[in-house]
Amino acid sequence: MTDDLEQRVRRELTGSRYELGLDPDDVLARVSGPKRRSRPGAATLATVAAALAVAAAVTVGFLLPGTSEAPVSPPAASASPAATLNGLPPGLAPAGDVAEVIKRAPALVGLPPGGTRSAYAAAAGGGVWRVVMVVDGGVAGLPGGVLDVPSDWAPDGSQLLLTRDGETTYVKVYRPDGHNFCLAVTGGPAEEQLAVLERLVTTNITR
Amino acid sequence: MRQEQFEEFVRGNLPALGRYAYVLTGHREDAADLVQDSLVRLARAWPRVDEAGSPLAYAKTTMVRTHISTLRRLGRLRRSEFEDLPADDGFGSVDDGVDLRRALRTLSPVQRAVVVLSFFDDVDDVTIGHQLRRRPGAVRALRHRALRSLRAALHDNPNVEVRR
Repeated sequence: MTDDLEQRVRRELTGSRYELGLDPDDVLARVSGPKRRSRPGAATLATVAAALAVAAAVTVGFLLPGTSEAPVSPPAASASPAATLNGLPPGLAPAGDVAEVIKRAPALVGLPPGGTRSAYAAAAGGGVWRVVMVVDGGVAGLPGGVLDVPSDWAPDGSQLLLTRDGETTYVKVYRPDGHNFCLAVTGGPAEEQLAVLERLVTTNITR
Repeated sequence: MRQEQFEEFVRGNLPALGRYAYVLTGHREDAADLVQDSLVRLARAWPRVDEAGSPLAYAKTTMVRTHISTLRRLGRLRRSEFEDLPADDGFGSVDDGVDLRRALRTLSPVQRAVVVLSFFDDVDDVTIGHQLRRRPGAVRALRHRALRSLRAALHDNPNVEVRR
């Protein structure tokens, strides 16, 4: 006998009230597909050229960690952070002065020394307002209390350490290929920081 | 070419994916986040997913697994339990629908995922188990507990009569 409650649940879920009405252009602009290009319609040709140049430089720094290249120059205002680090929260843009972003209160004291550094910060307000990444930094422990890392963060077998210190959440990833990555997120609620870190790690580092 | 295929897939399937996310989460804002996160993952896996020929199934499975991820669950804790209930679509009793929606909000993400896969997707327990990385017996137990929780939540509301 079919349960009446099951029928009600079926009717509820298949009704018309769950239409989300997302705009494909808006969604695609937030989702960086394979070899996704900047959208020329959103900027002048000069700005697009500048954005692509910055994206290429930062991508090289990200994919080939350990190079001795200096941090890239400040990006054009319209450069998409998704071009280098997929899954960033909306509103975060690459920061030109990485050291200043790290020192800003609350200072990100737990980052390892050296390595290739990049920073993303929100212009104003927003939930998570700073993300800093260090690729192939020196050996250093992370501050704060250790948090459990779900196994689905590392389908590639990477080793992860996740900690929470004050207003900042840190994660360090040791990939099987020998490279290591440290990410720090601060400025928003702890839950949001964790959700952002999960997205950044699984879409950029461990898959 | 693959970029264009990915964009074509998103444009063609976004209404279905958005609806699936909304059914899974019960929250409009969470659903939009879930769609974005899942599509970011799909974009990275697109070459092999496209070759396998089942991008929609991959996207939905990614959506389910992302939804029940432990840390996403933490991110939802600060939301009000009853905020942003999907609007009534005009069919049936308004009170009845709202109460059921509120009762569905009391389920854990994994319980709600089992309910959605069972009564929205109409897939069997083996398939559900594969998607949730659980055994079929565990899926049956989760569905049993979910329905029991729904009955209890609805019974607590004197305006709603639930037949067993």
